[in-house]
Amino acid sequence: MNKIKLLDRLEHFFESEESSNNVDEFVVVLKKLKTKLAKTKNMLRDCNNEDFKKALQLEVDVLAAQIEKGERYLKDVSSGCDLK
Amino acid sequence: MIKNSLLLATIIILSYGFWISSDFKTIVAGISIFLFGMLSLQQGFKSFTGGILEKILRAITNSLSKQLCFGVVTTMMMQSSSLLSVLVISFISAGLLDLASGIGIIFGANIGTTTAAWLIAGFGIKVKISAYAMPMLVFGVLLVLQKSKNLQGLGYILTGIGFLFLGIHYMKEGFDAFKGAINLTDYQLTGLFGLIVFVALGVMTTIIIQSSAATMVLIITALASGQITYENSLALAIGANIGTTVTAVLGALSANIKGKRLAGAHFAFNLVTATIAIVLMQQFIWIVDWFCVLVGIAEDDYTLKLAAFHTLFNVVGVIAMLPMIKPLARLLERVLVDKRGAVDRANFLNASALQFPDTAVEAVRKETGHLYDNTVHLILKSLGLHRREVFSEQDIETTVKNYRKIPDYDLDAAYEHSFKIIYSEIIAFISQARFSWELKQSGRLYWLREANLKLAEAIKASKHLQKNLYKSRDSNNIYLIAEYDKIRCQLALLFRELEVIKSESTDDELPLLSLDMLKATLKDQNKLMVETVESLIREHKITPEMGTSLMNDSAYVYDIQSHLINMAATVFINYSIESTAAEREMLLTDSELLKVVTSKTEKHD
Repeated sequence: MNKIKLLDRLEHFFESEESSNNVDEFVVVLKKLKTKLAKTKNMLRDCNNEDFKKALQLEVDVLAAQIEKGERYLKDVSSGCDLK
Repeated sequence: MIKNSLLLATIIILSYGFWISSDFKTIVAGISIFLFGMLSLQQGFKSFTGGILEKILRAITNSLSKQLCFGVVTTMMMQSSSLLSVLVISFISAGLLDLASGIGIIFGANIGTTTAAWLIAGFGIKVKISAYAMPMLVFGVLLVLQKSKNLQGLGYILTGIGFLFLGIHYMKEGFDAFKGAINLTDYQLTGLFGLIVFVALGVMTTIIIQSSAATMVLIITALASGQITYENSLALAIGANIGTTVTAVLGALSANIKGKRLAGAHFAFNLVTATIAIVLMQQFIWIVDWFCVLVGIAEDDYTLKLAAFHTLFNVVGVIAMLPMIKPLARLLERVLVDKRGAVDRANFLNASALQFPDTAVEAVRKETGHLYDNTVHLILKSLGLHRREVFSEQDIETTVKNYRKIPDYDLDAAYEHSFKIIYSEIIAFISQARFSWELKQSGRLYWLREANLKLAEAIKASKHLQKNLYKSRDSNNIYLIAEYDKIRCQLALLFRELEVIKSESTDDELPLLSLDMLKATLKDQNKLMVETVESLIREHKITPEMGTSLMNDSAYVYDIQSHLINMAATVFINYSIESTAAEREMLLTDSELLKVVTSKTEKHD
């Protein structure tokens, strides 16, 4: 195996490790976001105060947008697209 | 002037010495090579450890025994307490370590320095160490020429040890040759007078050489060659201990108040230790003799006995001073007081931190937090509000109503006095900290500089807001007053929210992403305000001029809020948490947030 090939393989190995770490972190954050979303939705369902309801609705929308963005990122990573 | 005269005098004396004696030249060359070896060793540890020392130091702040061990082990490895002193001063300055903990580490370092005497007396004198020095120098230089920073660091360490060995070899050779020409023991002094003279000689030698380890090598090699007596060597060792603190005190004269306090503690410790050693000299000699018999050191092995004495009086000094650490720290804090006010100047920046990338970043982060506190004070004052009420549990609307009368406040003068000086010091510090070899820290410094810029922009926007706020306080229009009260409430609420994030009292698992919620709320508020103003103009409750001023001010408020939230994302969020990298990727952009806020309104309509 020549030197360039070896370096290529090493680079690929390190990059794949970094990317897998990144994916793991995303999965953890997404899981936390989904739990938070479910909790906020429950609070919104039980809420009677109009002002508080508005604030909770906004939180639900923000969380949903963040989850959507995270899932899109994960999908792109798994399909091999470089987001950076 | 004095420094230059001393340097000139030293050069003249040395030149005269070189002229009259080639053996003296060999001894001084040995000292020089030894000192160069120490510098190389420090350079190696600095680049080779790559922040390891900083990480360990962060973890040991809670226990005195750990602090002592850290001081002993680090100094033992580096064979010099100077780098450790600089690291400790930078940590104290950055607020990462209190003075008492720093003193604990310096006490440990004092014991650590005594290992040099053991190594030289036990190994350096008895073995032909120049044989080890040569290959070390060859391999060391070979590694120094490599591109890898770790290999370079290792190279510097090997070169450093090589030069230390070579230096000892030359000192030993010089003293051996010297013996034939002149016998220094002819000048030996006994009794209390001899003790004091040789202690003073030890102090002076260490001040000139600037290293107690080098003085100890000199004493041991002279003792091994029979050029000084055992009793006189003990006095010289005590002098070396005092001399090293004089060097530290002279160095601290140009340091900040925290550096001065630590140097003061070091000086006090070594002075007490030396006094104990002088007063109990005979008892210490007796204990050393007893110890040497116990561990099998020959009765005439004076170099090892000197090493044992050196360790003994330092350990006794530490034991005697341990209960005094906290009172000593309190005393130094009371005696050495900074004359400038602590609020209006940089509290955490210190030039010594520039040598340690992680510490430098932490110092800038803390200083930015300090600048944020001043910014909050300035903006609240310009709004006619006070921190005490805003950060209390009191309802914000009530607080704003209680302070409806907004007093005059010169924001420009306050900016110059309480913001600009610190801001300039931070920017100057960041500009000096060029860690091209640590990309991670350079990136963090870049973001911290941006965070400081955001604070400056927030104050600039407050200045614009203040003008119209003053106009509104003189108005009788209740609708206009009510809208400006809302603005004050919004800003006060944001400060309250940011204070929770700053104090890390939030139990939010995703603090960075939570800032999106804050941003969305502000966007929503801003949108609502514009709609309200339009409706007030339509209903002729306020004039169009008042309306446009309110709309402009609403934009300024949004700017202030956005700048502060962006600053908080850099300064208040703990970046050591693994998930922050993923959180950062998921943060919503401005247009994404606007989409969320608009879709919410549409749903609601």
